[in-house]
Amino acid sequence: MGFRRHDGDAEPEAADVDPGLSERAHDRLEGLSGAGAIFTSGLSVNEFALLRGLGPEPLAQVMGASVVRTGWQYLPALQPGIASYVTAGFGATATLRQDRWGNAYGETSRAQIRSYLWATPVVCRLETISDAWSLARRRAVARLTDEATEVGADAVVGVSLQRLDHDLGRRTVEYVVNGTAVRSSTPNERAEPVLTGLSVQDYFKLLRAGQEPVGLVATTVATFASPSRDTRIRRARRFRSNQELTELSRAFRLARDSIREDLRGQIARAGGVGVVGVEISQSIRRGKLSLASALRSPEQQGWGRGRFGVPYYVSGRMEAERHGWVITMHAAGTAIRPIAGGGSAPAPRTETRLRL
Amino acid sequence: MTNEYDPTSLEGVPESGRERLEQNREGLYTSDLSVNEFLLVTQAGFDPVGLVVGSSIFHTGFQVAGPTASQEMTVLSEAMYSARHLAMTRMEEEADQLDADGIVGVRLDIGRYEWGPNMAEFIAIGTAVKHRDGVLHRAPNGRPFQSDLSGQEFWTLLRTGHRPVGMVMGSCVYHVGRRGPLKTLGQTGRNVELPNFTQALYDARELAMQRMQTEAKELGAEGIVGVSLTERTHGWGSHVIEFFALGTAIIRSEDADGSEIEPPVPVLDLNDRR
Repeated sequence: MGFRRHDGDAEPEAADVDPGLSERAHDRLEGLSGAGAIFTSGLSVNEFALLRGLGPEPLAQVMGASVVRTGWQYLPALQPGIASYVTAGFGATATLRQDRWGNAYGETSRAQIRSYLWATPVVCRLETISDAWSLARRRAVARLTDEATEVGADAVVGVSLQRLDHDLGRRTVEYVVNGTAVRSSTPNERAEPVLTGLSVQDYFKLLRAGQEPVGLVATTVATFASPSRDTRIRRARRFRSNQELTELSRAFRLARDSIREDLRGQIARAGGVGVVGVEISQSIRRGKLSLASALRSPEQQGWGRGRFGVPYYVSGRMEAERHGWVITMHAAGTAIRPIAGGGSAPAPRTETRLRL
Repeated sequence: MTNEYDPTSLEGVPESGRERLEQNREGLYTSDLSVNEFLLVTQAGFDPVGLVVGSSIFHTGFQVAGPTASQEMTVLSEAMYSARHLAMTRMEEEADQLDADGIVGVRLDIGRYEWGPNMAEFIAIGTAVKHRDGVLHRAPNGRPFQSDLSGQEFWTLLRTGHRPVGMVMGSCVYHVGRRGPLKTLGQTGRNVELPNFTQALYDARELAMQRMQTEAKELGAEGIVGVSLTERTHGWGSHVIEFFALGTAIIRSEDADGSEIEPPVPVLDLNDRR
């Protein structure tokens, strides 16, 4: 047992290292890559039949999985106000930032927090949660790619990204990626197998139309929407009338816009001109998040000595919590580009028929 | 455990089942094929000969794993596998009694009953088919083939010059170890991958798939299509998970003349999507 590390892996820096491909996976794929070996595939019979007509042969069903625990998610810190409890020249000013007029900027003030809780609506991206999903997906896809490379594939079709909920503990997210590795009859020069989330039927139609897939694009964005307290009170008073929850609308819009931006960047990096077969799924839950401390850097956080040598402690969060909604939106699709020198397909024949 | 196979054996098939099979042998057939499936199976040169069923009620054993140990629960794995295998073998025996070449449209179900909290009934149901002109389509080991293909899929597969030889499966029940409290504390605050969970889930899936592959190899198959990977906790709690891989093993037909399906013609369907 145990994960084999990649040859090219850097020396592990922290507790979190990409462990590479599982030994067990290696054992299984060994039986599939030799001459006269059997193949396995998650293809349906129709896909299998169509694939044979296209040329590529199926090699193995490949898979990748990753379980990630999300870190602490705080709301973005407020701009720090002028420090009222620490002044320049006394105590631990070295831990505070000083502007050119000699004002030491410290922690978010109480007045700021009060106004933040009562009067400021919050709509923001939650980077830690988004990153956790991305980390899990990246690792899972990398393992799938490793498995495909191991059997000598040059493409993986029908890649499905699944998010599983095994209830293994709080704040754990799991990604499982499945697909069928195939090798085309003509050797091609690609170093890495091309992943597509398309079924073989769709792949066939694309090729016929003179387009080819260049890779899988996927992203996850989490956003947070929280009305301020006075908005809540105002809404509670007018509970009989229809009201728009503007923060929620904005948060959804932010999530969609972010997803669009992320996908656009990924498509460009993959060398595609567009994306097809995008599937968007979203989940929403009520959540409670704390405000992050304005003193963000590691040397600012922890124990310090304030005025007259009185010790103080700066943790990563403030004593301010916002109730709201956490929206998590996932999107995955296949980036495509036109085949060089490929023509477009004739228009499909139209016929009217009665389906039995 | 079911390696010694006696084709004439009707062990496990109840008295009423034998009567039913006798009726089927006389010419009346039953099937759970839809009309479309029936037409295609008939067009492929096969006749349905009867609905066949196998069942096995299993009392799953008991096994303890340490809270932080990630390990396979071999007792449970064995139970899940043997029970399905028994059900499938009984179904196969019924098909054999009908002189069938194989079984299509096999469904594997797990039934639970109130009167047996630790028991589960494993059921396999399918339609036995026989080639009309007597061309033998059994698996290389002389037993009727099984497949979970629908009639349409069966037809398509035959057209590509392949035929099913058997349903192959692999099962692995895995206990995913919990994380120790110290370990949990040490990683607070940042996004980290949990290698023990990842590896446990990953290994369990690989084991299930590998077992399925081994079965296919023993059958002398060329490959496996339509693999489905399912994960269920059969009431064992959240950390004990069964990973089950199921697919249909296929080989190239002996009479295959390099037959291919016709190149598909794209058609714009004018039916409303309702």
